[in-house]
Amino acid sequence: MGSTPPRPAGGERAPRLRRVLGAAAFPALFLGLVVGMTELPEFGDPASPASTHLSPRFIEEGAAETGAANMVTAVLADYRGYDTLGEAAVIFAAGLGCLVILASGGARRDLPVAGMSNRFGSIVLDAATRTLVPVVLLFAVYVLIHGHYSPGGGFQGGVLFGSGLIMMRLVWGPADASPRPGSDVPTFGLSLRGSLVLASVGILAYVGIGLAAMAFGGEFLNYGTLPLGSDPAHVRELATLGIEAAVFLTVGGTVSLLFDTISIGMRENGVPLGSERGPRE
Amino acid sequence: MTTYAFAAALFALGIGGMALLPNLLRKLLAMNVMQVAVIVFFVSLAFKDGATVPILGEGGTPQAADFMNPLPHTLMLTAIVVAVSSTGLALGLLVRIRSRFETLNERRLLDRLR
Repeated sequence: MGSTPPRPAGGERAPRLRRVLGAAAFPALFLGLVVGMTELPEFGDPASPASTHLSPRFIEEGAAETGAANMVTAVLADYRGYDTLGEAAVIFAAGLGCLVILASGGARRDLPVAGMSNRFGSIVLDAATRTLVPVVLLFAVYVLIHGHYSPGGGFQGGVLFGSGLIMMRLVWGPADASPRPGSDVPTFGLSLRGSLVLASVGILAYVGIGLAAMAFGGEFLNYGTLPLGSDPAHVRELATLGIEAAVFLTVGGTVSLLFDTISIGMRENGVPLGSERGPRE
Repeated sequence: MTTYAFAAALFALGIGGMALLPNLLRKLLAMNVMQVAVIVFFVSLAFKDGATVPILGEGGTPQAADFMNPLPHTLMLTAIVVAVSSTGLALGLLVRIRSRFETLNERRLLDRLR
């Protein structure tokens, strides 16, 4: 594509034989996988091991035990709550890692922050974003709250919430740029610090609900003992909603944190957006 | 079986891309393809003939044969979000690599590291 730059010394390709062998390894992997898969149970077989162990319990007892008609939510936030805590922690750690990678060492904090150089502001985008963003953010909360009865929950809602925030960043500039003085552009925007706080509060709330269950005499994340009512299924339903809300905060905060650190990091590290780079690699 | 073969093809494509493509950003995209393959495989394991989505409707006691297995769905739900954040972390690393070495090409990077 385009002009061919002089190839730098040492950039020659690997020997032909090695390339051919390397490329042949992956069709072979595909064939091996397909041969192995012939041993799997038939697609859609109701009597397969995956469908006869553990899952009948989730399907037949789940709604009565946890109060969630959506069995995925019941498994996610109640039966496998400990696993989901780990997942949320992984997501939070990825956000923190990105922040540490991009904010340490070479990042030049003294550069003037002059708005995202590559924001896509125009009158059409501005008007569309003003209309869309509140709807997206509200829908995110709906997806979170309705996760007990329909597809949805903390992860999906959190990602929607984060993408609503990202849509504003793309049109109005980065989180660290203050709203232009005198403009009436509404900013639902979250600062980088705000995203970090949101994600941390989510994780802490998750652990807090688990510890509260312990304090009232149950096991960690076994919500049945929480003093939220007399019907155990209803207590679990409320605690599960709390867990989903905690996941929502963690995921929403982390998604926005990742976008902010990467966009600010690219500017501060002098990495151009788009095709300023010339040589095709 | 077709679904399994599709997942296998995506997986081989993803791994192959990670190994063979010279550009680190493309390697990252190939890794995403590989993650999607795993997700397709797990979700297809959850499928049961004659069953519906694992959300309880009105009335009646639920029978295991009527609903798909919710467990793989749960696992993949979290896996998708973990894939998104690991991609974000990798992009952060790529920004630093690009800023320090001025390239994302694997061979040129290796030359500069020497």
